[in-house]
Amino acid sequence: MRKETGKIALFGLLVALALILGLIDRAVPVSALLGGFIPGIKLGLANTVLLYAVYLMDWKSCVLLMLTKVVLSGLIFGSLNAILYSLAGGTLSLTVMLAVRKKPENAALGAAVLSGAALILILRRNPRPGGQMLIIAILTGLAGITGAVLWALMKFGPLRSILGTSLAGAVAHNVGQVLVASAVLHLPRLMTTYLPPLIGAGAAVGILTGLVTERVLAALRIHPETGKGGGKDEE
Amino acid sequence: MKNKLKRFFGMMVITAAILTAFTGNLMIPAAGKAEETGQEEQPFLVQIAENDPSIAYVLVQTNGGAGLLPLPLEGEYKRTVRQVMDDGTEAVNVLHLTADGFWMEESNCPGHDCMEEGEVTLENREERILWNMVICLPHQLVAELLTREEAERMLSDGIR
Repeated sequence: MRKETGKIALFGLLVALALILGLIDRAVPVSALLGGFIPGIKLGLANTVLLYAVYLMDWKSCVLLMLTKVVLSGLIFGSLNAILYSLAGGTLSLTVMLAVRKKPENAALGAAVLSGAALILILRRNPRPGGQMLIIAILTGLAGITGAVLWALMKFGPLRSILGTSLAGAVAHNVGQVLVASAVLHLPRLMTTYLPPLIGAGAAVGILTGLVTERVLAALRIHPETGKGGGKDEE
Repeated sequence: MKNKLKRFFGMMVITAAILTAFTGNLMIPAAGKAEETGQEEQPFLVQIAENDPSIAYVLVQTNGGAGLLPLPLEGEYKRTVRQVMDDGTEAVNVLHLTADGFWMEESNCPGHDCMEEGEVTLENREERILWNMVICLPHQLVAELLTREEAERMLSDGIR
């Protein structure tokens, strides 16, 4: 009985946290601050909650948390359209994160491969990128290298990190959103034009949110592998 | 563990409150109203005439259809695009076209991302994140800058 109560309390806290962070996401106009650099991007702080949930709760609770967050924030701040977009992003990123939560090294490898493919697509379209595209190409390249290094460190080295999961989740979120956008706009070209830059940007943000989550889990003394409290600090 | 949890969530609530106070207006900005120019607007073209001197076009696609707007050889003009969305609201976008390119000048969409996407010109379109496009996602409107050859190819292949 006590265990159940704890679970319900944790669920409620995480939903509330996701909604608050969603509000902050909406309030920080990242895109406008960057001069319209990547239209429509957000910090994705709300998605870090899903990342904690993946390591704190079982998969059914995670799915329920995602659905609750999507529907509630859609009803409070957005429209039906907004629900559609966040549902696609949320479902894809949660599926990927749940699939790789035990093996974050595979996630890092996947994100590295996707970033590499995105970089190739960008360079094929414009072999000598300049301006915004140059920054994005560098970002995507760095994301690919980070993914590959993370994979190598986790596979062959001592690193135990949830960064891989976060990276894959963020990239999957963007893939989901662009899929819906290209369907809504009847513009399949978006998959080869807008998606590659978003994969690079998503990977960069995914690394940041992963670092934040790792610090939070460490502060709460929760061991990412077992999801149990009372473990050692992950310093 | 319990105390740390409490402290952590307490900090989150305080941070949220500060940010809310700091940013002030969290709700979606009120819909802006597009100005009525009173002049006759440039009609959308569905084909390019032999004697049309324009070198570039803006292809505007909405759920209601598609059409071309020629870039002016000199000077500039605005073109208002009005649509009635599925939920009955009126969607208004104002495109500003110059001899070099175009940008989204006004839109009554939430967020105004399309207005932040900047100007598309023949010079910068290979360097923009959205390449040659300006997209207003809530209004399902895509505007893209095409050279005359690209526009002619698009028309013969069928738009989209």
